[in-house]
Amino acid sequence: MNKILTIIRREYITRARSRVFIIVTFLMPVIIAAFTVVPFLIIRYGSDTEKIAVIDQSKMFTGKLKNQDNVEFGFYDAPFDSMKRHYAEKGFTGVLFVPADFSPDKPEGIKYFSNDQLGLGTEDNISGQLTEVVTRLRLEKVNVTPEVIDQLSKPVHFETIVGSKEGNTGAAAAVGYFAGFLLYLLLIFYGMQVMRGVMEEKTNRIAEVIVSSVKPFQMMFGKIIGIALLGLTQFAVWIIMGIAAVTLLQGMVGDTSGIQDQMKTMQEMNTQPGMVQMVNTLNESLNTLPVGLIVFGVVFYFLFGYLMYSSLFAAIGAASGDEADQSLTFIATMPIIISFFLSFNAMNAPNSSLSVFSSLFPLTSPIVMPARLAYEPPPSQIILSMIFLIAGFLFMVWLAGKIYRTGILMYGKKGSLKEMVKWIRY
Amino acid sequence: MFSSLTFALLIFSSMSFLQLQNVVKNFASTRALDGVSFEVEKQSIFGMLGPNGAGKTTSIRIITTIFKQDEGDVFFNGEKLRESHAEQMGYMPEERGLYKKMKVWEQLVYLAQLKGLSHADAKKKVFDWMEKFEIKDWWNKKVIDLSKGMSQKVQFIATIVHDPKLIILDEPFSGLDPLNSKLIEDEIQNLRAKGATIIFSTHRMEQVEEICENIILINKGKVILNGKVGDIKQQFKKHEYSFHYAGALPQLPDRFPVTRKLDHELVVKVDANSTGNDLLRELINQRVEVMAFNEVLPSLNEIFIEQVEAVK
Repeated sequence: MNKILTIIRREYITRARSRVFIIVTFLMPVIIAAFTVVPFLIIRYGSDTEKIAVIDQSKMFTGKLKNQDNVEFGFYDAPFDSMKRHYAEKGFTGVLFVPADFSPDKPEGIKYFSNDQLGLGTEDNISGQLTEVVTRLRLEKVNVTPEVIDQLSKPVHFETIVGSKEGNTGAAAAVGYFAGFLLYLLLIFYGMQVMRGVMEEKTNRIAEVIVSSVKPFQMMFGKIIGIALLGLTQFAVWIIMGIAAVTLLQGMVGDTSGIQDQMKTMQEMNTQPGMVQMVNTLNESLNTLPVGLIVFGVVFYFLFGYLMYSSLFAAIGAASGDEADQSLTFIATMPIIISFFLSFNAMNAPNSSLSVFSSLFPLTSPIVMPARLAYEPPPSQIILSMIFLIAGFLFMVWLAGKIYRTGILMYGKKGSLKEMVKWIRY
Repeated sequence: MFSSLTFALLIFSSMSFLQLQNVVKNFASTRALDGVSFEVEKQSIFGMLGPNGAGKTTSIRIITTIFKQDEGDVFFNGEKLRESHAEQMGYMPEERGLYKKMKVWEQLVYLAQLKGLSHADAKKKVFDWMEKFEIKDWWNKKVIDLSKGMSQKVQFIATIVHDPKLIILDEPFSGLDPLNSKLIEDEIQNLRAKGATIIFSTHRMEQVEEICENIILINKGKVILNGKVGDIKQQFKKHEYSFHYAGALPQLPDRFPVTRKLDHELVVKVDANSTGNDLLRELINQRVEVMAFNEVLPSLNEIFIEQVEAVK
């Protein structure tokens, strides 16, 4: 036992003090935050206000164009040509001209003039508002008043009740996606670390000396746990940094209506809408989701999923030659990738037979089940899935141990699949 | 529990430190060891010889508890071999290395800890050994910054830092210059004097002849030769004598055929009925000025090649 602790300590410390680890741990959340917060900030504070001079000869739009999203409208009574020359002196960035003969039935003739190219956001804003006004005018013509219009376009919401609680599909999807994605990343990232660690002992030719002092299984296990602790450390740092970032974000965001507009604009501009939306949805709907279950689930599935997969990665590392082999690595990465895709299916149709199967099968359940947990599957399935995963993990550790103990001493050439099977029988 | 034969063997070999009895090891369809038996006396230097793939490394791995034998027994210091015995062994494999990014002292302490030493004990011993080998300056150096010869020294220390009772060295001198080779050779003798038993596995026969007392020759999983170096040489001697002379080439009778002619030296075969003294008498009778005279014993190299070729 002491020896496993010694091994764990070495595996942990040599990696934790490497420059790469420190940089990734502290820099990664900063990068992620930058990708979500910065575009947000740019949109809100980055663009100058566009001031548009509107010459509305039809008088249909006067007073109806709202100032919003960094676009302001000023109504002017002046000839178009003269405005075209003087708009800049008057402090405008462009001129919008509506001809006198403009009619809702034939909405042509509106022109925008500026010496600078019109930006997408502003164009959308103007176009959207113009359309809205014209639509209302058309409806009024058939005696549909603004009040009736509002009534007609009210969206129909329905209450979702799951079991005895209120349901929330959007939030569940967000959390499910997040959990699945996180586990997918972690399993591959840390699994590969284990594999590379095992290969290091082979390329350094130190494996035999170590194996003459401790059992191969102790070596494999110590490495897996050491790297797991590394992961947990990174996790902890990121959670702390994440909480700080979310608090910061909330402070900047202000009221929620502002967010909706920001998000709409962001989506139109094709920046990273997903992350902000998800953070927001997370904030709003956490109390409708089984948070405790999800957190427990993520931790449980990460733990046993990692233990199972990292044993597989260790076996692959032991069977590799001096260079990493794509086809061998694929044996481990493929089920993880497939699981990730299956998790989408689980979010789409949480109770379909494919979802149920993939959340029970040990190779896919570490990613699929956490994604499904937000949809509160039946407890019997959850428990069964956990039992299967533990059994799968034990089996994999046994299998990997056998491949590892022989492969670790084979230096230079890589072991073929056939050979690996032979080693299991030794 | 013990069969009477084993019991008798145990009594006989109370001086033996390590014993293999009829050890068999299979790897799927390959029989790597086919009933290997030998003994290593306490505080001796024992040589393991054999061509590549003969079973030397497999035997060593069974002794160091890396593998378990399929049949047969191994006894370590009178007890049946257990995994915990590995802590009393030091093993330097033929293909050897160190963690590149660790510092020298950390590496040595880590390996010592894996052999059961506490961190504090390990650190002290590592320090003492590095001082003895005059490499204290490398304390904080990273292994990747060491030259090959330097890292070999570090590896040697790693093998013996925990004062093992049994030291197994597989090609310990490969890659070492003569100075470092001598250093390690001397240290081996020191360790033996302090009570360690040493097993050497090597292809360098000259060294085996110089250093080892007992040897075995393994080939294709079987022990072909086993015994003291001197005895084995006697066993395979060709009854040849060589002498150096001054002056004219002596003419010898037919019963002393010349097998080799060198510069003022002849190697002569003496038949079973005659002795070396008979040859010497003949030379003196012929008034040959004999400068040197000795029995020619085959080198281990010659014996090795002959024995291995014979089985092919």
